[in-house]
Amino acid sequence: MMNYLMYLSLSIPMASFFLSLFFDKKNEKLISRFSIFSVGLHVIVNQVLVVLWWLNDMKPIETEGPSFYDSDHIRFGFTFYFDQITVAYILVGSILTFLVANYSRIYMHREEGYKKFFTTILFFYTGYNVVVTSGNFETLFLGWEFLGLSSFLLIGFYRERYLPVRNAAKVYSIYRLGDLGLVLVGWIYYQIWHEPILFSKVQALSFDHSLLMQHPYFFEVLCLCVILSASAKSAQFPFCSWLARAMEGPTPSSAIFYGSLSVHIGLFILLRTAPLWQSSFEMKVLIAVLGFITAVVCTLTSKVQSSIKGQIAYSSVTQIGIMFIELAFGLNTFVLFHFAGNAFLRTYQLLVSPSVVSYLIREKLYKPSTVVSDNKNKLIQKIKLSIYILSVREWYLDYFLEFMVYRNIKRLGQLISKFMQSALVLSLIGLAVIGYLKYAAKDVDANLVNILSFVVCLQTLFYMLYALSEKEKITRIWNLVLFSHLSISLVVMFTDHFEWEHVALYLSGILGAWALGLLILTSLQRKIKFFHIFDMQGYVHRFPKYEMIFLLCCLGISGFPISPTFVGEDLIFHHIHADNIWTVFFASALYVIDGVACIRLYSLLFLGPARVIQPSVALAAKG
Amino acid sequence: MSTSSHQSEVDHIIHDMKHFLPSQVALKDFIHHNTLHSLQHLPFHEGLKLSNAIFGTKVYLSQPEYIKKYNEGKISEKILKIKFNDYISSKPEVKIDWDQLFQPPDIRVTQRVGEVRRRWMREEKLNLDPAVHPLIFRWGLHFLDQGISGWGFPKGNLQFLNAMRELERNSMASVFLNAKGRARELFMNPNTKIERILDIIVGDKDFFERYLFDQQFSHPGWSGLVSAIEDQPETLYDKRQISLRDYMFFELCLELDHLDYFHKENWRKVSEVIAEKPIKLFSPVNTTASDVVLMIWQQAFEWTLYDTTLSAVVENKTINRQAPPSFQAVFCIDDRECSFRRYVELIDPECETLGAPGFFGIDFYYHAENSHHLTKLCPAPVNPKHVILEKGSKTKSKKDLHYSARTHSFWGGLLTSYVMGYWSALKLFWSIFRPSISTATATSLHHTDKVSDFIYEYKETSTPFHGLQIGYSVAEMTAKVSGMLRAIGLTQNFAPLIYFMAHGSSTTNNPHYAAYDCGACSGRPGSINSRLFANLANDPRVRKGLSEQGINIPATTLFVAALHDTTRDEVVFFDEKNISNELLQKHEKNKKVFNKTLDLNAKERSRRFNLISESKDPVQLHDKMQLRSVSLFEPRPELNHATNAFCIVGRRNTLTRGKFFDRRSFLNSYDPTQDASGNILSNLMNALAPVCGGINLEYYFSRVDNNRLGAGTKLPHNVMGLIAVANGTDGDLRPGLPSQMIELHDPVRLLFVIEQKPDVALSAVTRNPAVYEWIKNDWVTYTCMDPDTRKLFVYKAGVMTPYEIVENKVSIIPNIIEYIESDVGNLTVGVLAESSIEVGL
Repeated sequence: MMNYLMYLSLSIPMASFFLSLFFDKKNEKLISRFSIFSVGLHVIVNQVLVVLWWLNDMKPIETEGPSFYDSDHIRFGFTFYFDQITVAYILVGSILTFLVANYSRIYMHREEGYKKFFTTILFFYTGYNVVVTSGNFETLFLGWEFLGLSSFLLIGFYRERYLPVRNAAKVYSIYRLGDLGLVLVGWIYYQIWHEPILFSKVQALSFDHSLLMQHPYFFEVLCLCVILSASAKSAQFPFCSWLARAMEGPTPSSAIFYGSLSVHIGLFILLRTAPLWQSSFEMKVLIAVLGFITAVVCTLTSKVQSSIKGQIAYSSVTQIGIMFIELAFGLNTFVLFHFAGNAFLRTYQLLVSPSVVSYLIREKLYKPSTVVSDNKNKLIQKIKLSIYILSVREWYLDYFLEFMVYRNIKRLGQLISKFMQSALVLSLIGLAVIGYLKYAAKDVDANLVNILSFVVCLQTLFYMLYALSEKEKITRIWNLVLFSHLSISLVVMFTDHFEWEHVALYLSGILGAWALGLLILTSLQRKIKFFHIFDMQGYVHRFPKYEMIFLLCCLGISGFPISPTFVGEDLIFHHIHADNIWTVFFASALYVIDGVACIRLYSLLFLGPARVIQPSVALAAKG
Repeated sequence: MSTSSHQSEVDHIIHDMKHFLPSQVALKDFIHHNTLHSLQHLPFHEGLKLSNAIFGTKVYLSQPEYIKKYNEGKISEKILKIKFNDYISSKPEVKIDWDQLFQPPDIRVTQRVGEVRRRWMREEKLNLDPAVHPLIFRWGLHFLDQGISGWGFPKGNLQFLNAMRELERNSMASVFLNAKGRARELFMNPNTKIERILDIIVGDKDFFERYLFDQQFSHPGWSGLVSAIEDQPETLYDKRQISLRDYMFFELCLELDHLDYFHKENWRKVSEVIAEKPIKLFSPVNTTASDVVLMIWQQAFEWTLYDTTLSAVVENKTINRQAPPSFQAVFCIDDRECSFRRYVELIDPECETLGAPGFFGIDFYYHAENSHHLTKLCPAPVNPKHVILEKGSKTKSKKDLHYSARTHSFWGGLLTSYVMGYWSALKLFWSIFRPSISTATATSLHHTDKVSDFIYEYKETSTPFHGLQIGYSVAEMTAKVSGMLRAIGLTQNFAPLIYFMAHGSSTTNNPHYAAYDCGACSGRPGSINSRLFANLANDPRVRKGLSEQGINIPATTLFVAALHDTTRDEVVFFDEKNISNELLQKHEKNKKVFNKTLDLNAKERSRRFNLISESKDPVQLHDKMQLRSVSLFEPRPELNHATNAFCIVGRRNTLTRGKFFDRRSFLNSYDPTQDASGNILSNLMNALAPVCGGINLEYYFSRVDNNRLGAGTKLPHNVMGLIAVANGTDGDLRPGLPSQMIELHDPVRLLFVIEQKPDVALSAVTRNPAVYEWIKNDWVTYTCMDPDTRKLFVYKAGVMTPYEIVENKVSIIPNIIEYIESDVGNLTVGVLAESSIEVGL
């Protein structure tokens, strides 16, 4: 009974998302009513589930779903889990989504992206439900990827304007960093406990010293990766600044995603993996400290915010910081109440944020104007003003990401571009040599293979950094993404025993996406004479079909769960052994960069304001 | 500020630029005005061409839109031909043939503003804007914030630059990237001239104009707001001193700082990069064929509409009545009252309605009891000398913790999210499924407390209040009242009850709420004005003074103030306690007329929202319309001035009564027989041209280029410092109207129809150059109808020329109710048949 309900609960959002794709763009009534109906139905099913769970003494329920890869020693499949954490998240999520869908039915009326909005909400909702009901790591990761993409689409909802697109790409890259953490979590966990992560079993894990000491520091890195993912997704220090910048979409989407649901998912990861990191005192301290820094920094930043949505964003993050502290103190149940309250409060505040003008202006009429007085003590005054400036600058967190990280990556890429041609040949030779050594030559020193592989990986990483900064040769960017996948899969296979099936599975999706994408890029280049992606081109207006297909290609080539590559990726990671730490490092780093490079390429080409204005000829440049 | 007597080059540039920047002040004072007011000294189409070529704004509909209207019959072929031939016969430079009207035109793709700077940045591989814009936006916003942030600007009492310098000097953190760089040094020195920094970044003086325009027009929203606040600092409750020059200076310093920090020595000045000197920004622009094609289409579109309207106006439907009307009601000229008046008259054919600008001729500042600021209650350009004080107010506004800065603090946030969070969920649930008036609603009904009194009489003992005289002397009161009554021709035949019906609106979750209220009251509801007018006009001393001037109001006649809420379609009557028992019965009967009217009016409004297909019952539709005003999620509570197109000035009875203008007309009462000299008309036009013309052109431009001249869709708007909206947190401010307000608007210039002889009509408007500019340069279309002959005249190049109706057909509307049910789009203007409606009570 419960199992069926679980299935039903999961399939409602997914099915309604797929169905909604086929609706007529103009039929607002059908689109909104259908969305409201399916989310409403989901609310009811969830309530029933919760009641049953409660009657069943609140025992966690675990359900095994279909598997998508099964062989003798590896199985990848869906597993679902339902406990009090799920209850809190699923109730808050479904109620808020239901309310916001109702709100948007009229609010979005006549907006050009009416259908896109509701479809994306259903897509997000599917991802959210997969995440919060996931019972194993693979399921969670699948939902997690859905969330990342839907965030990108919702922040960049107004895709014809510059800032939404830029911020969407920025937030996506931070999410991608969170993905990196998760990928590593899966791998390290397997190395320590030799089984895939099942959340029902995490409770009962053994933290035997000897077990952990098999691979020193693995456990610590595991926890750090969890924290990285959680911080990135929940906008904790040092990633605080993205949330305010995500407020680019229509108000209800900002309210539900960045005010409440999406931003609390990082916290969810911490809750799910609590038995792991709560076993370590150091990690608890670290999380408490991170939460504390976030809370302090974001309270101050929120205090000086003069834009209403920015203010709410920062105060929401402040509360999540406090939730991190609560979790570090083991108040796991308290946190759930805090989460629910914060989600409701911020959603409501964001939804009524436009009325702040009439309310506060009226209040202001009856309040005397005050001038902030100086503190008499000069030192204190100086400190106060310094804090003020720092808070206005958001404690340089955004600046740091934007100008220190991105900028330097681009610089490095430009530097690399000078050596591109020759280096590419070198790595190809390198790969060939490794292959030869491994299979043709007998009795080769394993170290030699390792060193060569290392060099090839490092070069590939450099290429991808270059791809992040390239502005002209767009097909080259695309080819490099393919190349990085090829080289990483080959290197992994060369250092382990070679399994064609796994490589084929991995590359099948990638090659298809690559070929199709290349077709589009070349055809685009043929149609447009002047090609230079100095800034966004906005070709979605002229080539809407290309845009759709190319987005799918980007997803396919960066391992999004729409092709067998998603499974292949897991398999490839299984081939990396605990002693090949650097391979893991490269593989996951490339995974992040590939994704960012693809989304960047997509945004630059298709999104942003359509270019109609050309520089006039009247102005000639000096040499 | 430079104190030198002769202006420098940069002074000139700033002076020019201030004209071209958007001039919208804080949201609470949202007032419609001509978006392209800076080009009003040029002929309309000439100005539009310049705007298009220099600033890259769209200024007409697109050609396919015109062709679509042509195919739908909304542009008459005859008139298109006339306009085409007119153009050809004017021997123009650019020749076009008929077919070109239908071929895709070559649209101008260059724009002058932005060219030079973009070119420079491209050549030098600089990308300053994404780095510098968020900073100058944020510092400007923190400085001007009116109460969102919980920590106000520390040196807000100083001038912007001095405040920033104080902040920089007294802190350990720096506003600049190079804490010791030259940019900071230049900034900190109060003697640094703006030219000094321009020398470093731009170099050659000839580039200054282009560079500064390019720079400021990369964020017109912010520059415009700063410039507007510089000119009208009173728009802020917390006073701030800022000027465009200071803001520009700060931006230049930050640009230099970024150049030095990120690009070190690797960049060249603008004039070193670009070889030849740029042409002046405002040097003449070539006319292209597409300019001409669109102009002809636009003229044909306008005249098709004008032609039918004028044909309806000249139709003689005058009814001669001798007895005093059952009651008189004076409304605002607002186009939203157009249908309301029609229904009142249809339901009670014995009544009379009149129209006057909604401040009813009394200009003053208002001081609400216990408040700390004054509110201006008259048209924005007027500077009142009087202040009216409120006393005995009983209203207490509801508090809502959701707006409190306390929910954003560390502990406060913790507490509220644990406790109030669940309350928010219930509230949200409630406000989605059972919307009602809440703290998120800005409602006209709360503008004045029903039971409070005013101190409006000047006493010799009273001292000035904020430098203004408290109240009016009896002579002043009499002058105000008689001025008003004469202006609308209400000097005899007084009914026992005369209603002065102000208007306002109720909208929820709407930062642009002020735009929906009365434009003649500076974006506030007019209820205080109407109450005050009734008070003055009922004063026996004033009555005595009036009768000395020949205006004899019977002692039994009572003026009653009322407020019509245009969103909710509700009417509130004020000071009903003053109504004597004899009149009370009449008043109750009139109330029934108004109530019935409100339902029908709501029904007529509902057709635009496509609600008529769901129900035809006026009461049901009225409920649905009321729901819009309180729904959090309704971005279109009402349509405000959308579709406005005409301004008809004349006697109701001879010109507009019994006719259907589809809520598109401003209606001002005016009796030409009492104004042989044109003095009254001249005074009227002083207000009508800027107010109605401003509304009309703001809608026009927001409609044709919603992206640049309007505010874009309001759905992602983020409220900035309570003074403006922006997209997201880092975006530029968005002045103008959001797309939800203008999407139904047909961009046509305002058609004035004046009931007056052509020579008087012309001489009345030439007296004030500011008014004449509107007409001379065709920013409005000025016509008149001779009251004796009912012949039409159109202003054309300095003379009133006779006009013959082209499409000689007046549509007769047999049944008004069926007519409004028939379509959701614009309906043809026409004349109501005698038996058009049989409503009664």
